[in-house]
Amino acid sequence: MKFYDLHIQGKNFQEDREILKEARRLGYSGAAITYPDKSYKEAKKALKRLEEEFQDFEVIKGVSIISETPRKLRRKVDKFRKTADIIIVKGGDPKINRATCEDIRVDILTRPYQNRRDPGINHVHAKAAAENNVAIELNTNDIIRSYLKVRTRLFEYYRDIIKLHRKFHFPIVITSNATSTYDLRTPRDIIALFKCINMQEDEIIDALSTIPRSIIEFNKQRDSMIILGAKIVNKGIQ
Amino acid sequence: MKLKMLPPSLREPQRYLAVEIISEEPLEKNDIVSIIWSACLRLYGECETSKFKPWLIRVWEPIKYGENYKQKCIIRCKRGEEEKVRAALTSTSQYDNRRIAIHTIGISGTIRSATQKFIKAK
Repeated sequence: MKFYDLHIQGKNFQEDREILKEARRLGYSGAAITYPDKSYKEAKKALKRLEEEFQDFEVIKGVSIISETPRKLRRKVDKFRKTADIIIVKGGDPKINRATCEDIRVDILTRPYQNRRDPGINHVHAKAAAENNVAIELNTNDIIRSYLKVRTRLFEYYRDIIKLHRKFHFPIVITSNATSTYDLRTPRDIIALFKCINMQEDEIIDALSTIPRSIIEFNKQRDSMIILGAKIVNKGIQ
Repeated sequence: MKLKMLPPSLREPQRYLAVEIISEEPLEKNDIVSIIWSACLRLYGECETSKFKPWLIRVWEPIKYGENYKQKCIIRCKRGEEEKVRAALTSTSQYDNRRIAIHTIGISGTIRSATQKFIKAK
């Protein structure tokens, strides 16, 4: 089975290479290195070098967008959709969460619960995310690095998100959000960890393997897609 | 006086986890024991941890791994609880204000097969 990690925070070429090597050793088949929208332009060269260096391991270029208003968010998504393989939006603000769930061009919404006292997702967001195929991220780094009250709250939010996922069937991805090699864990360990919040093994494997794979495949076809469901098969024939 | 050992039919079945610890500095056996206990107690609490019966069997010498140290060891626990112990070990990130990462390489029914399959093979 192929496992993917769609959110690893990039720093520079050297450190990214170390993290990717470790990810390959731990049993992943591919990983996305994401840079913030401000520094993505400078990081492009490093990402290209990484892609060339790792032949048997899939390196995916990602952008993590931070924005204050939904309008700015849409503009940034417009800007990066063609250059980046994966677009991740950092949530927290209810307006941003909603705008992200309603935007078909976004792939992943990360941390909708940040600076909030609720999971940041309700039935309205869930319906929109299911319609537009926006995946909600469950973050292992947040669990691993926190303890006591904070960790308990996180489990509580994750349980709420999973409850909505079972009802509305929006995609869920489990990512590491790693900043160093110490934040990575093997896929089997992550499965064991998420079992403690009553997730079924199939659900966890889907979130680690099937859904990330489908996001990668879908993004490869995005350029030739006019609208959802209609794509140009051969550009030469008129 | 030491208690007489239970007959095999009354002994509880066990599982052995082959574990790899990556740390900034080499760890001693006592450190690893306290890491295992604090991890289990933190994630599952006292009541649940009492079912695990965790025990550190053997620790191998630390090897230099890049800038860090890699250490392999074998942990014993009760059969049926190995996934929970694995989850608890996964959830640790720090010891003594230094970063650590614990990966479970494999689970086995005997110490011998755990050593042969997971520790000496790699």
